[in-house]
Amino acid sequence: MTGFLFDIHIASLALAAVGIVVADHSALNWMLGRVDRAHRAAVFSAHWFVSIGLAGLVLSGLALFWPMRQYLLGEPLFWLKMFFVGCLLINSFFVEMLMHRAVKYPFRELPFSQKVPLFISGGVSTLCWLGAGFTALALF
Amino acid sequence: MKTSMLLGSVFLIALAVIGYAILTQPSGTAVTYPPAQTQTTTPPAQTQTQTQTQSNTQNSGYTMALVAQHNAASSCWAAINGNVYDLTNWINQHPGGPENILAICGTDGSAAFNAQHGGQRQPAAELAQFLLGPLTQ
Repeated sequence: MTGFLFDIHIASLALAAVGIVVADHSALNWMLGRVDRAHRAAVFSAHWFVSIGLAGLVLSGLALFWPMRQYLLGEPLFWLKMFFVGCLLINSFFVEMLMHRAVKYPFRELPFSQKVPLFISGGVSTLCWLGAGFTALALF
Repeated sequence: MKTSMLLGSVFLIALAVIGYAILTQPSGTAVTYPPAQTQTTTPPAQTQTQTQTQSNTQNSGYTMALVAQHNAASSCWAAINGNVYDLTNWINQHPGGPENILAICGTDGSAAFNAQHGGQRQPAAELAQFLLGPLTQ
């Protein structure tokens, strides 16, 4: 059963990774001015992929966590990983608000005050995905 | 907005599950591990199964025949790299899942352990806590 859940966990990660690659590619083209507006279908599809992948990761992660909860609750790395996962979940709400800017306005026309949240959200996302991945590797 | 609802629900479920796990911990505290022990140190605590079979081991040591008797979740011993370990309390704490420990109960688990954890310090340190003694022929 653990093997099956782990497969679901990795499949969810792969799904999210596909969404991240598509979203980053669209965002990069938009920020570099290659396109005035990000392609709506690509951005929203990518967000769905990442969201479903993240939801799958959390739910399968909870199922994997339960049998070994005694061990994990005493591991500082587990709590660090949960911090990263929590940040990713909270950041996803901001991403959903911010991605509308990419499909409505050219990046160069955005005032600096509207660009800053985009950079912060992107930075938090990158840091937390990498952080969660590396803490998982260190934990097991 | 639908993705927000999906992830919001997942977030709440995760909080509820982890919160419940914290509140229902059997001992009230998380499991902690002492520093790694060498083979020459005395195991920190003896389980009931250890006490029951202590007299047997005084004469013949920890033989594979004795290890083979402890092949269940209620008493799980395994020989790994020339030593015998009582893994009973580790079954439900093993990060890789209980079935991997249950699979080596009563057997020589050296191949399985080395394939999964060969060369890793932390698994070896955790294993050392459950040392009973050297395997005798």
